[in-house]
Amino acid sequence: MAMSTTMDQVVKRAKDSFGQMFDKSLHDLVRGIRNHKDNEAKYINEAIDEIKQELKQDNISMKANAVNKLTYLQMLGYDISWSAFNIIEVMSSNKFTFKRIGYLAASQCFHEGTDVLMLTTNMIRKDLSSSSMYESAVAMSGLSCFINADLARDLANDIMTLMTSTKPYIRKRAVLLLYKVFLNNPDALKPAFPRLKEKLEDPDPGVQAAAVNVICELARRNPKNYLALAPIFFRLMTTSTNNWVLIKIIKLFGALTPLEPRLGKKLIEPLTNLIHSTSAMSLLYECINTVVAVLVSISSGLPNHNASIQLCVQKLRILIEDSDQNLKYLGLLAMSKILQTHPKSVQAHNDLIMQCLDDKDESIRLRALDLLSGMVSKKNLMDIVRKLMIHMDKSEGSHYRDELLSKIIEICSQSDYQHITNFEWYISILVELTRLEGTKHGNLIARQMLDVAVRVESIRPFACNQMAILLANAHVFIIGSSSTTVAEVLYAAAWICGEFCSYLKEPQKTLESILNTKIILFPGHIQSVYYQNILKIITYLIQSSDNDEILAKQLVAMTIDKMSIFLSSGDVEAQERASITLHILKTVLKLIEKSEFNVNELSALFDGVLNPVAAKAQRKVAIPNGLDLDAWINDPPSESEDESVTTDSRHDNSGFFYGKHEENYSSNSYSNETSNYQQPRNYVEPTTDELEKQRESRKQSENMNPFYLKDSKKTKLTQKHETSIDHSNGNESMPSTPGKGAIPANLQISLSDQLYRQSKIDEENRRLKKKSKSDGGSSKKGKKSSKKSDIAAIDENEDDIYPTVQVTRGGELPEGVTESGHEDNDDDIGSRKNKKYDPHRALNIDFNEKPIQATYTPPPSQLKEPSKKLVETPPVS
Amino acid sequence: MSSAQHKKVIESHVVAVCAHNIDEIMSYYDPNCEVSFDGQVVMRSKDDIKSKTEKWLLDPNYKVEIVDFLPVEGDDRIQFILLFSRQGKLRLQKWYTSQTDKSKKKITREIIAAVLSRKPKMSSFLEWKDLKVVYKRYASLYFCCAIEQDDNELLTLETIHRYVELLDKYFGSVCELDIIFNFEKAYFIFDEFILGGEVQETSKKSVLKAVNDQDVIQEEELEEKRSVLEDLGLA
Repeated sequence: MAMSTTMDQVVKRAKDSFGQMFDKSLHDLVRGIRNHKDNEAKYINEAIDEIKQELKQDNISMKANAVNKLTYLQMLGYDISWSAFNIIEVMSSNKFTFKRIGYLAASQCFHEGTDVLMLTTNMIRKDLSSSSMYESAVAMSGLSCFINADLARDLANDIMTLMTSTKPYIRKRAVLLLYKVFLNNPDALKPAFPRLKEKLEDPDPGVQAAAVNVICELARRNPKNYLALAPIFFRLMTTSTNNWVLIKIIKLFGALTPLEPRLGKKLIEPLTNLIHSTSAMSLLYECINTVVAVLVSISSGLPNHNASIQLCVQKLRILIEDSDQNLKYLGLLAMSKILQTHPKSVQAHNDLIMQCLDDKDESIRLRALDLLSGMVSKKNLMDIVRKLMIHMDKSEGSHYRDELLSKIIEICSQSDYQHITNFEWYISILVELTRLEGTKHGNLIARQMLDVAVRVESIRPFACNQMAILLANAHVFIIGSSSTTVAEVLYAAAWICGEFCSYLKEPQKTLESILNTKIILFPGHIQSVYYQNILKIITYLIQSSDNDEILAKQLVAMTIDKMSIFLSSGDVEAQERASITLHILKTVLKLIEKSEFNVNELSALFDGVLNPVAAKAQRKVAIPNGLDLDAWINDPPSESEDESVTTDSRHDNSGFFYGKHEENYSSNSYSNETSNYQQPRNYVEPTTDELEKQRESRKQSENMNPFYLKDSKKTKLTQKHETSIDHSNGNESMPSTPGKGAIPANLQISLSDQLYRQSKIDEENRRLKKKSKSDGGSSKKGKKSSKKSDIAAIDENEDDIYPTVQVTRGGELPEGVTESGHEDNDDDIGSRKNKKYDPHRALNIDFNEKPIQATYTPPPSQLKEPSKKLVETPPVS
Repeated sequence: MSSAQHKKVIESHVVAVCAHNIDEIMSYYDPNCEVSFDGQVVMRSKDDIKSKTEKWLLDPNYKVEIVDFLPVEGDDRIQFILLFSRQGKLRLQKWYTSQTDKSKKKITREIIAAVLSRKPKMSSFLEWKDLKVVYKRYASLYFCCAIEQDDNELLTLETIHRYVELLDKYFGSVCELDIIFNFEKAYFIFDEFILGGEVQETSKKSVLKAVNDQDVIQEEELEEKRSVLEDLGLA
């Protein structure tokens, strides 16, 4: 009997050991998956079935093997949460081999919400205090991944005990794990903190580094509670050689400085020393960022911080010039931080940033673009934009080109066109932007054109004639692909030509080109603008012809003739406008025939000037004296009236719009209709289906049309661009040789380039003039030698060499109201809601605070005192 | 209604129900939310909310004023680490923030796609939602770390490089197959190097020693088993 039991035991043990050999090992599984590439899912499902069988066995090594395979499958994306209990079984094995596998599986698939975690508390406690340091370490690694509030609460003391272990290996891990404990159980922070602080001075540098890490992480979130530790950290910063630790400490000081400005002064020196001495780029980068942050927060208190900024900018320049894309990218990123406070220092490196625009990496180009917009001035705006335009022609990828386009507009339009000295140039840039194929920013360009034409009165003649060219070539925009919205510019062009038609050189020709356009193919809102402005131009033509009846009659007759097609517009509003325009013209024609026509009656339709209105104007309108908004306008309906009449204010409006009487009001459908009618009209872009259809039909008609030259426009455009690039590159030194080719005969040079050159020449001339004035006619020979100082002198007051263009900035406000800041921002609500829950908020614990039981609680002023004093005394020993 | 608006409605509803019925409050409980009063976090766990609110409901003097259910933001440091092949196959993943499997999969998919679409001459950094992704390619494998906005990218690159060196030393000029077939070893090395998203040991030698020591323990345990087999053979 006894014999057989031992025999059984031996066989069982043998089986256990053999088992592992006969099962499918992890290697087999991985190999199998690789061999079943076509039906991986099927193979894996079979494997999972096998694993389930293996997990049912009594054999722990077989189970461990199964769990190991599951961990692999989990990585491939298969759900293994069903095996949580088996994982715990393997974790609880007393063999290290299996424990390791079990904890790995747990750390990969358990999370805060895993139910079985509550079963693990005692097991983990046992493992943590194991005599084998590796068992304890494995438990800590696992715990760091799946610790939850309950485990953090129950195991906090055990982890604290490990912090006093004799083995640095364990202490180090315990310290790091403690951070996770705090996050999940904020109550543990206060009692644990003194011991954690001790670890900052642990004899083992690894433990020390771990403590620095944890405290820095805590302090970055709630810096004010950690100010008292500043001296210790200061000492560590000046003594430590571990870059990982240094970076953490420097980051921490970045967070502390805003709370204690005196700290900032003390920091600058060691930080600049580090910047000078370190060869580690990561540390250099961290130092620069912190110096910038520190200087921002103490900008007023430090007299010679310019040197530090210069040093940072110089170092960043080295980073940006480096061939390593990563350094380049980060250099630009840090530059943009400096730009916000010290724009002048960055502007000096204009050339470098420009070079980055040619970088192969789009993310670097975008960073450089961001920087550029902050660097423009009156002096360099045209150069920068010109470079961007050339760049746009060369660049690939419509996303990046669109980004460039919107950046150009952003740069030019910022602070109400503050940097633009030549609006002719800007308009021609806008016109050239419309040639960008497939852009999504048609709307943006259109809005700019309108804005400039309205705000800058002196530009209207030029703008009008440019717009007339656009209108004459409107067919180009019809052919454009459906993904582009560039046709939107016609909206602006038509309006500008109509509104300011007195500036048109050949209004009649413009009218004809409008009428000859297939307007009906445009989106509805563009059609509407077209129809309205046709009438404006005719009015102007008649008015300016001194009531020449023959001309008037001829014009009106022609327009009526052409207009009739537009009545078939598919857009209701456009169709209505076309029809109104047509009827007005017919009436005019009748009157002319009867010789009763007075053009002033017609022009009265478009009388008055349109001025820009400030965004807040509507809200700022003061309520006039005597107006009570709550009072009834009409007497309220008496009880006896039809009870279905409920929404009174609307009745007046709907009566007005529909010209109908009260009999309709009782019907519900009617009131629904009116409420819809009163909603603001949304212009709906044609859906992709519709566009597809349109394009199909267009393609068909193009194919049928023998006169249609395919793609001719495209090639012509690119040719033109290429030549303009070549030309401009060859003439880089143009501005310095005035007089030569002031207006080039070569018509292929784009208009903006012509204007660019012209204004460069003008600028140079003005500069020379100014110089000769100030020099009092010094000899020409001296010019070359003294050029540098001249430029410097001119740079100082460069602004007066630029012409000033009157721009209507801001907009009209009701009388007596000033445009004031943010006092009535309606998005306050949004900003409050934005802050997400931050687990660190719960860790905001003041360590100086006495426990509530204490009989004496010092007043708050005394509480803060010690921490400040500690900072004041020089901490370096 | 946008999700934000929707959430607000639910929040205000929670304010309303607070005064009435504990079960209803609990039905709104979301483990990813906290309750804060006047900006101060007061409750986070389910039990906490239940017990405290019950107490207040019984107390007629208690006035519930502001209740916020706000989404929980992950803590910082290295958020997660992914290793994947040029074909986009995941080879290793380590998460230091609590995520459900579903969101892990989604994030992994998106980041792999974003990284693979980068051209070779591009910088190693990309911005992804409110995180920064730092990646580097070694032979056929991409090593990819997600960090927070104010974390140091260059240091993260160094961390990645250090890990690759460790793998290289451990396996002896490591290749993708080594990691595929010994994925658990790759994790063990990782756990010796980094804990909870924080570098714990910067010395390569110490990390490798710890891993090797543990491997030795494992072998000894296997050795024991072999001797059992030998016993059986003798018997």
